[in-house]
Amino acid sequence: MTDILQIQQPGLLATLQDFGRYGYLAQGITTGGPVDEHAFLWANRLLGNHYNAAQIEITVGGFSALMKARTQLVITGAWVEIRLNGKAQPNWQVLAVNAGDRLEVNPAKQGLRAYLAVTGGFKAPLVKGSVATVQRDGLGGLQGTGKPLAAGDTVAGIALKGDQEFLPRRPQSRFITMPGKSSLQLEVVAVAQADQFSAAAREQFSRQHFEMTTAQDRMGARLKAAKPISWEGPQLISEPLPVGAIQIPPDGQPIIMLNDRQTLGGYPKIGVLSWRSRSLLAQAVAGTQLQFKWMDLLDAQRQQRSAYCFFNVLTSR
Amino acid sequence: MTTGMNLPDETAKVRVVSAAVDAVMVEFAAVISPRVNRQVHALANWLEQQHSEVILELVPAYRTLMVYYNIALASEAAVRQIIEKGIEQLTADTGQSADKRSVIPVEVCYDPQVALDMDAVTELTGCSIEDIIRLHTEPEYLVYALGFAPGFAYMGDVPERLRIPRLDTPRQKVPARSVAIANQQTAIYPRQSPGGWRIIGRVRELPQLQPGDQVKFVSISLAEFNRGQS
Repeated sequence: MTDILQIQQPGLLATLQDFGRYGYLAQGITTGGPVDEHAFLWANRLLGNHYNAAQIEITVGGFSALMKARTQLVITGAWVEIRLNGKAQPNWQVLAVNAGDRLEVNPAKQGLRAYLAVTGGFKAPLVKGSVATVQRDGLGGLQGTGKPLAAGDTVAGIALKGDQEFLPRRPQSRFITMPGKSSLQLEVVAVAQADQFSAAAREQFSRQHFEMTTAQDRMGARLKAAKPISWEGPQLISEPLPVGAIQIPPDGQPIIMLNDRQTLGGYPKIGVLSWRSRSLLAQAVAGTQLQFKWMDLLDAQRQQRSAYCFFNVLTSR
Repeated sequence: MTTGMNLPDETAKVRVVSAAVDAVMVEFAAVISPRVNRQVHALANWLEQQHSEVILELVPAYRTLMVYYNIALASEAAVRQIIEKGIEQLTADTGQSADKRSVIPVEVCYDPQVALDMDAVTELTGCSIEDIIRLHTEPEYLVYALGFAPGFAYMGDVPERLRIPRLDTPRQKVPARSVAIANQQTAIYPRQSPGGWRIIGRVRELPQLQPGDQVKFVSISLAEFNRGQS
C-alpha cells in the first residue's frame, strides 16, 4: 500500500466506490457502487484492473488532487475538463502521472458523474465486503463511515511496478457515449407491476417527454411530466426494490431508483431500466428531456449478460 | 401437522414474476399475515441451503421474496426451475411453527411537537390524539421484515381505524427515530432519511429489532421524552 493522491478540493461530491456492497439487502443495507456502471467498468478495463477495483466517483467536477506516487490513471464518464499541471488532457484515455503532479477535474461540459481510476484501484477498509460509500447507511469510504472524500484526505493504492509499460489506451470511439445530451431515450423493461397499469397509463408513459428535475441524488431521481401517470391498482405491501426500478407515487411523477436506493418500497413500479440505460441516466443533469421506449426482457437480459461477460463481471469468483 | 403435505390454500396463489433484468420475485398471497410471512422465510431458507452458484442474493419481505441471480452464468428460466422446486418443497407446517418470543416494550412520545403528521392523522381517521395513542399502543406488533434502510423494521398490524395511506409526495427528510404508519404497517426510522409514511411519534431510544420479534409501544409524555434526550 502506498499513498496515491491527496484531495485538494472534492468538488460537489466525490466518493470512493467499488462495484458495490452485495449480500446485505435482507438487512436493509443497500448496494451503493457506481451509478454509471458502464463508465466505471471501462475505466477499470483500460487499466487492466479487476472489475471491482475502487475508483473515485466525481459528481459535477470542481475536483483537484495532488499526486503522491507515480501511477497511471484514467477518467471516464462525464465529459469533464481534465488538467495535469495546468495542461489539458483527454477524457477516457490512460494517462501517466508522477508524484507532485496536480490533477484538476473541472466541471463537466456534458454529463454529471466522472470516474477517476488508477492502476490497481484505490484501497480502503472493507465494510461488509466493500468500500462503496453510502452516506445514508453510514458505510464505506476512507474511514468506513460513509463520509464522502474531503479536502486533505489521502487515498492509498498499489505502487506501480517499475517495469509496467505505459499505453495511452482508450476505447474505440463507438463505445464512448457522449453523455448529457439535452434529450435521452431510455430503454424500459415491463416487469413488476407493469401489466397492472392500464394500457392508457403505459401508453402515456412511453409517449410523452419527462424532464429530469433537480431532486436527484445517488438514491433516486425524480422526473416531471405534463401528465401524471395514473395507477388504479391497490396500494402495495412493501416489497424488495431493484436498482433502475421506475416507481410511480400517488402524484404520478416517476421516481427512478439509483444505487443508494432503499431496499424495500411500496409504490407500484411501471418497469425497470435496462443496464445500458441506467448508465445513460446517471449522466442526465436537471432539465434533460427523457423519453422511454419499451424493451423486451430477453433483449435486456442479453444486453446485460454480454456487458458483464465483456467486463468479466461475476464470471469468476 | 405432518410434513410433506400439500401447501395450504394461500400458497396455491404463489407466483413467480420477473422483477428486474437479473431478478425474479416470488409473490405469496397479497396479505400481511404471520402465516404468509413464514412461507417467505421458509422458501428463502430452502434456497439458501441449495448453495446455488447462480443465486446471488435473497431478499425476503412481507409476502415477497426477491431472488437476484448471476446473469453472466444463468438464464432466468434456470433460476425459475430452482425456485419452482423450492415451492414444491414447502410444507404445510410452515405456518405452524411456534416462534413465540418475548414482547419488547418500546417507549414512544406521541406529542405533536415530534409527531409531525398528528394533525393530518386526526383529520384522516376522525380519531382524537388520545384515540390514536390508544389504538397504536394496543397491539403486539410482529416484525415482518427489515428493509428500506439498515435496521428499519416493518411491523404490523395496525388497527383498522388507524389505517391511512402514505403521503402523496414523500418527505425529503424524516427526523431520526420517528414512529410512522402507512396502511397496516408501522415502523421507526432509524436515521434521518426520505420517507412517505405519516409520522405519529418519536422513540427515545432506537430498539435493535430482528425479523420475528414482537413489539409493544408504550406512550410517554414530552417531558419524559425530553428527559431521556439530555
